[in-house]
Amino acid sequence: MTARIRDRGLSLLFGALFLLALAGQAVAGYADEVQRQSEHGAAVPGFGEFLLSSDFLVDVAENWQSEFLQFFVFILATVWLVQRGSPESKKPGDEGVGSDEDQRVGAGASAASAGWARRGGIRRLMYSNSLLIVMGAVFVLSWFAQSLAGHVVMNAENAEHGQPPLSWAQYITSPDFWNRTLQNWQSEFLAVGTMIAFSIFLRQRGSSESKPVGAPDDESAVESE
Amino acid sequence: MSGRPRPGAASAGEHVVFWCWAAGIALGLATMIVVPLTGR
Repeated sequence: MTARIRDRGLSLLFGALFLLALAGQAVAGYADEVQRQSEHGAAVPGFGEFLLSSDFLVDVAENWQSEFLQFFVFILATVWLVQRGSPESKKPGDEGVGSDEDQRVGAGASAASAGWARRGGIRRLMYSNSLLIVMGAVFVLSWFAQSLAGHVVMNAENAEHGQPPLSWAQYITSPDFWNRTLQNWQSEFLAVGTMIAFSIFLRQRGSSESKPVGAPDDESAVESE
Repeated sequence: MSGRPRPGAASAGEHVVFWCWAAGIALGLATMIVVPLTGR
């Protein structure tokens, strides 16, 4: 394994897993769609047509939005809240955005700091919050995408059953939209909360997501470094 | 963006990783927004 691949192992693994899972979702989703359309005696779409349909994209979007919401909330919450003993948390007493010296911005910047960390004003403000801004933007856009695709799917089903179409504004207050949304949110918050709570007492030797195996239970990751 | 790279700056490879992920997400978002707007 060359250093070029080894140094990017995590992004390569997760990129490959994402593409494989998305391909699997597409194949399974298409098989399900073929079965449902056949049962109703309706025309079966081609695979390419299915991939560029709201039926497929609403399922992708509803999962995307919840994942990016999870990280948005996690990034924001870990600025202001702590969990004693969790490697996911700063140590108690370190709540807040930190000093310029700690964050190596402005007068506290070093020669290795990015240009926008050395400058002041809007550029430093943007760069200081860029991870939160981008994760939040992807969450909002994918949630919006879910609402658009879900709206198309709902109106197609309404048409099949002789029901009148809903407007987009009616759809985003409908049980279907909130059921799709909240079923994903609950699992994300459960997983993050579990990780925070379990990582106080449980360990994975060698993982950056865990404290060292012998670290005391009340020690955070920052303290154990 | 000229002259010697600042110490500690990421290599070109790290920029490729970043922009590949950003492009993939942008493509996905654009698809998921444009397709329903066409009514499909």
